Amino acid sequence: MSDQEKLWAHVQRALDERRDPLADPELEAWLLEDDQALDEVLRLRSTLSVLEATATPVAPRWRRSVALAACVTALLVGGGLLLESPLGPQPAGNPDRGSLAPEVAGLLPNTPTARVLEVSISVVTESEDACIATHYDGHEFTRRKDRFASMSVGDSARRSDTVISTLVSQRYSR
Amino acid sequence: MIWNRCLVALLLASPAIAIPLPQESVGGHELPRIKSSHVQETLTFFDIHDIVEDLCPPAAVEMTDGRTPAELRAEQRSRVSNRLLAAIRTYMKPAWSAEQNTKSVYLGDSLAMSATKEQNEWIGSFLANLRQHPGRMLGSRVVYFEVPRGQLSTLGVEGPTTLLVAEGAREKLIQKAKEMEGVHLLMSPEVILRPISDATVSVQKQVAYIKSYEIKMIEPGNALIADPVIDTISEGYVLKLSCTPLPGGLHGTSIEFNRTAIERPIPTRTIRLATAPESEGTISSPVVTRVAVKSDVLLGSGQSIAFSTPANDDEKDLLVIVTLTDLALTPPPAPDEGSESGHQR
Repeated sequence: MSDQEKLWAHVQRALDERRDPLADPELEAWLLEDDQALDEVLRLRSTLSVLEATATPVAPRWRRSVALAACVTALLVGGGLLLESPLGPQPAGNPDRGSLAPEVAGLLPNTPTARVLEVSISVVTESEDACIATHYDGHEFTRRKDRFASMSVGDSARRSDTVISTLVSQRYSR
Repeated sequence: MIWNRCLVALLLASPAIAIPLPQESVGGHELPRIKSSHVQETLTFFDIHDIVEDLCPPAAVEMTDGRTPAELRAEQRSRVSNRLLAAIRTYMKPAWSAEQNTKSVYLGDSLAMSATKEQNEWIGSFLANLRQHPGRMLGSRVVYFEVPRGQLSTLGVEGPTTLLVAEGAREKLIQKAKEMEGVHLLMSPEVILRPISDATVSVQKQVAYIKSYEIKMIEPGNALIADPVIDTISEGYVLKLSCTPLPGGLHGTSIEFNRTAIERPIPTRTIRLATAPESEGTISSPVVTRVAVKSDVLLGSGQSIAFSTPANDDEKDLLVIVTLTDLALTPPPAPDEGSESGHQR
């Protein structure tokens, strides 16, 4: 079985168990390494959320046309997925499996997958004769210490812009 | 020409109409010309009149610069439309690729986007999600702690960013922090904002100090006068937030938090100003620490993210917790939930 097939089997198993696929840590780790697969699963989630959204009646006439178009699109896509999924065409006499989409869509708002897209953190301490800057760029911490010329008696009370001490940089992980 | 105008009118009146590219012959001068690329794109019009109207705050204040309420409203609508467009381009799935023609135009009450079929579907669900809750409001709470060095792991904060998604995780963390010796809660501002719009909370005060002296010679008599040079530092914090509800229940949240603090007491020293024995003056040399956190995160309603970093004195760590609540999906927290309300805000 190829990686893609394993991935989709994992997704389908999660749907079988009425779990959001992206809430599965193993699947999430897998998807984080495969951008294309992640996009496909996100598209599936998006489609399912459209199904849920269109289940709510919308009063104005022009909105109904949007909902109808979204429904048709979603049903076509969802129908295709159902045909290929283990939850797809069910044997007669199993009425509980007839309404898959609303059940799955109902799971989505309760199990969102929060994540950090971008982050930077900095702490800068400035005094008359020194500047210490700790910076986190999303990957590692860096600390830099600059010491400036100290002022002599009678000098104007302005910090020199010239760095005279050795720069101290350290990188460490927490 | 008449045929072109009719077609444009028909397109603008339709909520979502897709046209396969290239469309130069259809659009004439009225439609944007979009180059074709190897990515299969369609030009789609989305009616966003109701969304823009919903997201525009009411123009309650009359402008003193001569702008009429109608002009002000038009500016607001344009600003909201541009933010809507920016949000779509930021959070769209699948994301824009470099090969794609990223043309997008706001035409009155319609948004014209050239995108792939999957992207257009995403935009459709994004707009449908916004329509689900007219008058939607979002709440955000920021809590800022100073924690003794090495104690963050005891609180369950293991890295620079920690997502708190389990129910009650944030409350447990805050409760543990409050009970821990040496932990200082410095602030906990709250803000209510509308989707997509920016919100800014700024609590600052100006601290003035004598930075130096300028020696001036005054006539007659060649008297020397020491004229103090005053500098100011803005102490406090600025919090900027924007939040975009996305299909699937997540919210694209943009956070900018800046805090400036002056070490107390402010160190002073005496300097000589001239050769005369009594010509001395006292200047201040404040030590200023600026903390800045900037992040884009995807959060569900009621979820939080904790940012942490070592402080520069190597004696403590800093912890900033940001919580998002979609008031349309999650009821606002009970008053006693935010028990930090007794502290500085």
